[in-house]
Amino acid sequence: MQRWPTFIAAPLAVLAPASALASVYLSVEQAQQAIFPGATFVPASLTLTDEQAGAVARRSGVRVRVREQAVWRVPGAGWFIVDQVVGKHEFITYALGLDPSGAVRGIEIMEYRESYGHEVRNAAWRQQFLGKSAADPLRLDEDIRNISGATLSCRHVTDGVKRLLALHEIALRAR
Amino acid sequence: MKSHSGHARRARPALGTLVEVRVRAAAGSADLFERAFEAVDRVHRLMSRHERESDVARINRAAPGAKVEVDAWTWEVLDRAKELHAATGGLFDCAAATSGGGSLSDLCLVAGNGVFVGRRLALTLDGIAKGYAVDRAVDALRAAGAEAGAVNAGGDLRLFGDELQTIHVRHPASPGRLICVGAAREAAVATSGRYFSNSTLVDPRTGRAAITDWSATVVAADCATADALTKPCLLHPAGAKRLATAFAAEAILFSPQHPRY
Repeated sequence: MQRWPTFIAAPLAVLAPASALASVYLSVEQAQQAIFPGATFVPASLTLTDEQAGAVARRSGVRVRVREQAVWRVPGAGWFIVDQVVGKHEFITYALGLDPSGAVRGIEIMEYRESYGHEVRNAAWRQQFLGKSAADPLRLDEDIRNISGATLSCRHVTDGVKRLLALHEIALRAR
Repeated sequence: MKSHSGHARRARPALGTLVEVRVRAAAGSADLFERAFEAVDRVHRLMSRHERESDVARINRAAPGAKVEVDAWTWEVLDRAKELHAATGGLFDCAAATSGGGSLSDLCLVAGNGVFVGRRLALTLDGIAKGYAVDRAVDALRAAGAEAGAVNAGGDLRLFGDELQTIHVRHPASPGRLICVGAAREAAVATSGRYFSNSTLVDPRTGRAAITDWSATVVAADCATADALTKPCLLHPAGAKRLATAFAAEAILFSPQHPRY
């Protein structure tokens, strides 16, 4: 016998506000502990030179939008990097952990935001999310947490990881 | 992080999308997440068309008449896919391709996780494996002691535990707007639609990419079934209700003209 799921239909006229959808998953500290549990983190942020940025773009095939990169050295374990990617409709902050050889140790999405206006392309709009932590969330209606329907692809995150792997080769490995 | 409702959530890129795992906060939830994502990654490795050594890629490289041995999980998905293919009169067909005209009926399953291909195939399990991955992740969470939570792989989701949770579906013509379709418990929900204009749904009746602006949502007991059933429902909306009922499921279709306010 087949098991029927519990489903209570609602009148379909109810629509959520058309605001940007957002999820905050992890703060920097939480992402650090998720990828390198118990490790210590030494700030090692860097600003790519023109030459380095060009080399990263050539090596990864991915455009380098910003020169500043939030990086932590994890003594004996590798590197922890926080990065942002912007798609047509989405803005994603994620953390990448690399082992000392530059292999991916873990990826965690820290924050996901989507929008269907022009705001994602707008630097001022993006700026408001930088430096936000999970303790300071821009939380939407807590009821909206089960959304069905194709979400965006993770192509931009995949490209971001390619760019960070190239950044490791060019700017971190020798450090 | 722990949210207001006492749930811990994580998200990672997988299966070509973002996969979110949520569990009712409990001690040791870091390990729960690892196990759930491991199950998702395993499905990706086995069933992605783009991974060269995946079971699906090996099936697609197999010469006509060749036998391919696959993982038990892949075999189970293929078995389910063939069942759905038969039950939908061929409307669900993840071996139908715009070039070549193959079909799931060209694929034969034998005991011991064996697969015989009758012709060159362009099999893709994208339309069922995402749901299957969600099911395996939920299994992993439960086996590791999670009592309640949810797994959402790019809009195909499953809820487990005793909570009744509201479900929203993206408007087919305006994906940033959400339609509240109801509340569910111990249920899976999947939706197919064009949304970001990257539809690859092939209509097996014509061998062409299906052109529709509608969306089809299916609520079922497991996510593989929900995921798979959205396709025949989208291709043949008039038969959606009957088809869903045969699988103890519910089908909800939205037209692009559905009011946005």
